[in-house]
Amino acid sequence: MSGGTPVAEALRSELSQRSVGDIRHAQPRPPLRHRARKWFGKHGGVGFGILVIGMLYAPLALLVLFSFNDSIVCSFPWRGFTLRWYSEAVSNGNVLSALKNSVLVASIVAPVSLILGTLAAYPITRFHFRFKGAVSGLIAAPIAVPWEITGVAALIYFVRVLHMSPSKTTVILAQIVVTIPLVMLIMAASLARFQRVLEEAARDLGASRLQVFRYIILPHVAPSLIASGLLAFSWSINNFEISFFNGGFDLLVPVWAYSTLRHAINLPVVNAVGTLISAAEMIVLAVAYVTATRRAEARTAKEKLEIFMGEVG
Amino acid sequence: MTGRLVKAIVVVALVAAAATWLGAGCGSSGANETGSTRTATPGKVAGELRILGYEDVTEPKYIGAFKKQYPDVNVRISAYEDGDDALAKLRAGFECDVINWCVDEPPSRLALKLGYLQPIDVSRIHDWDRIFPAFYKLPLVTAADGRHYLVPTEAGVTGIVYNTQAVEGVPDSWADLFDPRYRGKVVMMDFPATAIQIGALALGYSDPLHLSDEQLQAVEQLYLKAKKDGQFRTFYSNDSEIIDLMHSGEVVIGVGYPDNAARLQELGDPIAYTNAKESAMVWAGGYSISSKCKNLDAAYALLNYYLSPQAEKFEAEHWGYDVANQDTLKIVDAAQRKRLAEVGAWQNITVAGPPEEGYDKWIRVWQQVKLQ
Amino acid sequence: MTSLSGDIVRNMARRSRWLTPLAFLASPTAFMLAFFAVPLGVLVATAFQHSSLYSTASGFTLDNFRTLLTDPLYRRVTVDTVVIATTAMVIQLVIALPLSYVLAFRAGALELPLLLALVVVDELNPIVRIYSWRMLLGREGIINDTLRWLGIIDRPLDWLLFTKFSVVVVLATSWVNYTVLPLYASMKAIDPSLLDEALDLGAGWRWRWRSVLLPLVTPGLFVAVILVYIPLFTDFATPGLVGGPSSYMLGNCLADSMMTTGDWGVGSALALVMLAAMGLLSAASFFLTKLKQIE
Repeated sequence: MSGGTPVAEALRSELSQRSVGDIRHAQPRPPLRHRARKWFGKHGGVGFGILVIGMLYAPLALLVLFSFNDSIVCSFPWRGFTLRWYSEAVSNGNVLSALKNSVLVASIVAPVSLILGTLAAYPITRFHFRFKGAVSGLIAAPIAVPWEITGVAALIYFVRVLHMSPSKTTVILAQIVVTIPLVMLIMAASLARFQRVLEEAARDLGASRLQVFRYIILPHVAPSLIASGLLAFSWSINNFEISFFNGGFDLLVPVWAYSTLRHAINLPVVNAVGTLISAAEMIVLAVAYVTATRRAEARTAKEKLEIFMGEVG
Repeated sequence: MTGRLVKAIVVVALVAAAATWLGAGCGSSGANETGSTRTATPGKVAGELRILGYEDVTEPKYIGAFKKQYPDVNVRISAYEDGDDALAKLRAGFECDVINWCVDEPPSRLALKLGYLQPIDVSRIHDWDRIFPAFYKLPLVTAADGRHYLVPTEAGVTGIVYNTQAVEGVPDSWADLFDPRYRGKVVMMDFPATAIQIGALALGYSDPLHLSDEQLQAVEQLYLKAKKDGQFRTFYSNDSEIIDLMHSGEVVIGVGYPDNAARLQELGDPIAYTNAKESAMVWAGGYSISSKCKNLDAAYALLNYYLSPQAEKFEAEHWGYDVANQDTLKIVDAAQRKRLAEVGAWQNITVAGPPEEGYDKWIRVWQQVKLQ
Repeated sequence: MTSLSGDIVRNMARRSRWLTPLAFLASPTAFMLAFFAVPLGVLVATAFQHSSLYSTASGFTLDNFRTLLTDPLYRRVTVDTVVIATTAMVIQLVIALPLSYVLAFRAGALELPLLLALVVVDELNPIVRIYSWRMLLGREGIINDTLRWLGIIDRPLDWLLFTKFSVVVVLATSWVNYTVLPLYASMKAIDPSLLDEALDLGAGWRWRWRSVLLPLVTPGLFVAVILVYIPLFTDFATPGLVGGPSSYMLGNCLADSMMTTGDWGVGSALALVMLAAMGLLSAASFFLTKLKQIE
């Protein structure tokens, strides 16, 4: 396999001039600290990753913990385990309708922005064409505009120009405006460096772009795809500014939460609802993970190309 | 080549279809209502009633009786957290029928100035004459033009919340918040209208809502010096925050409401509340009718409901508010009656609110205070 | 089998007709034109108008921009915010780079679940953030209690919470999932055998990082900064909640001008300035990094 950056080229030419076995034999057995470092490098990595992610979850975990505490303050000492905040949450009509609306909105926003964002990322990383800068700038611009400003400007546009009443629809449209650049930028990062020679080789062998996408690109960017979709879903449920300004008379969860925290007694109920939402996201996460691992087998793109070549003959 | 084009066309078609479907859904959810402002049958209250207010306005236990009484009214709420946010929405073109907010918040005053509210025909408010007299003088309840733009339903006082074990005696002066003895353990509200007013009262100014430029400067210097000395632990904007801070011991004294102290006492903390001797700062909330209201009958029905003793009783018992309707005292227990009767004793009320003129200067001062 | 040579590269150039990118870009561009271009226009128009609740002036003006440039408040706030946001950004990258490396190359079977778990770290409402952070950083919080128990300090550390320190800490940990994702995405595109070859050749981790990995993840780095820097700048909840009495950043300024003072003219102008600054910065860094790589 040839191609790639000059660095890769250099490494490969180095290697071709010696065999790995020569190098290994040329060195004496590494001292203990090197062996320890190598072992740590192999297993410590995952441990480090789990530790860091655990620390990032710490503030959230505390809130989940205190949603079961029989007290309106999030503070030690513990006053007793209770489920009353959860029963209050699920028996409150406002909470249920807010949850329903938020999940509905997020379920539309996430796939639409995933599709449109990926559609935008692909040509920007693959082709050169006129106005590329302008188009990618237009699609990426909402990232740089603060959400409350986008929210107000969009509301003005919907009400005064399009004569629409604020509703779930306007929230969906305004949220998609912000999540498309989110997805596009992440997918662009994923697609930018992908070894295009594999793509071009397949194209040369007669594959259509669709087949190239399905067999070569998709398996490689699948994790990023799933993660972006989940990120857009989670962002949509939790976003306040856009939901508030563009929302009409349908309650959404973050708007409900902000408004209900006016009363101190509602704090644990908000925590309970937050925990329920995190749990729902974990379920979506698990479903996505199971779907992804079932379909993607551990094949590298190279192997897929070889299989494909074999099929084409 | 055809594969790509087909794929692109399919996606565009899907997006267009989704947009159309959503647009149709939007149409059915009440957009572009062209119905008349009066209901078809006089006397039958029905139709959609759109409220812009705090989320608790439609809390089931609070509004349940209204929905039972008027089953044909579809009550819909657009919730906000802060009056400023609500005003921004109205400014951008948001429309509704009834607005719930407080007269001590700048946005309600501005909404009146900008023409978002219509005068209320108090002859249609059954219990208007049963309101505590002190309320009639409040801004918006009776505006400068003599008309009424808000039906008050709840009120309270802003005073000093303190830890009885950490603070000597009863700190009944706003100046106690600047006492060096409590350095680093004081919490102030992150709200220019309240903070500047308190600063003015702490300096001994008798008319905090009409400050000259020099007086405003003096208040700014007071706060800047206090900050430099590390007087304030933080500025808060939420009831839960002050309860958390006092419960955990981060602060021992601060600006707050009687309900904060009551909650903390329920948790077993030695926290008490006192009015400040310079003046009891009163806040009051209620309901206005939007100038774009499309269902006046339902709007008046709702306002009457919220002012009725039954609804007021819920506010008093559940959220610890003071009530506007004197008849409420007849149906509450003795302890509540004693508390609610204090409203009748309010003499010179200072409304905890922004000045009529020059509030932008107050905002500016508070920004400077937070910046240094 | 066709040999892979310069012919392929030339064919690639020939295939770049406008029709193909158009097919892909048609729907996203149409959507953005329909639902963002006009609001953006509203924003631009408002920036050039008097639009304040506390003044009766109206009509076209450049005063909004003049205020931004001359008012010492904005200068001071911008300096503070740049310092805090940049510090938080750097800390995030320090956390995110090793983390995404681990996820991309070292996590094995745990890769996808860990990644997805990271993506959904986000609480429902920023307001509740303050309670958990107070439990960690407060005077009677976990850190202070531990340090006192260990005998390292006698009196609790005041500066852990309600200071600029806590703002940086909370900002740095709040957006890590947005930073890790693009870094991870670009690392995934690297052939892991490249790194293994470097290891076999005796390269230490420092050399591998600087000369091999870092140049290859530049797109991811670029995207991570674009995604996160502006939200760090414009976050107003965090300084308001954990920043204490000295908690006034650009985000608060912006929120004030949109809500409290209702000066939409200045608020829009500020947003435009930030948009332009971001555009210039990304264009500049894009060209700089492009020059560094010889494709």
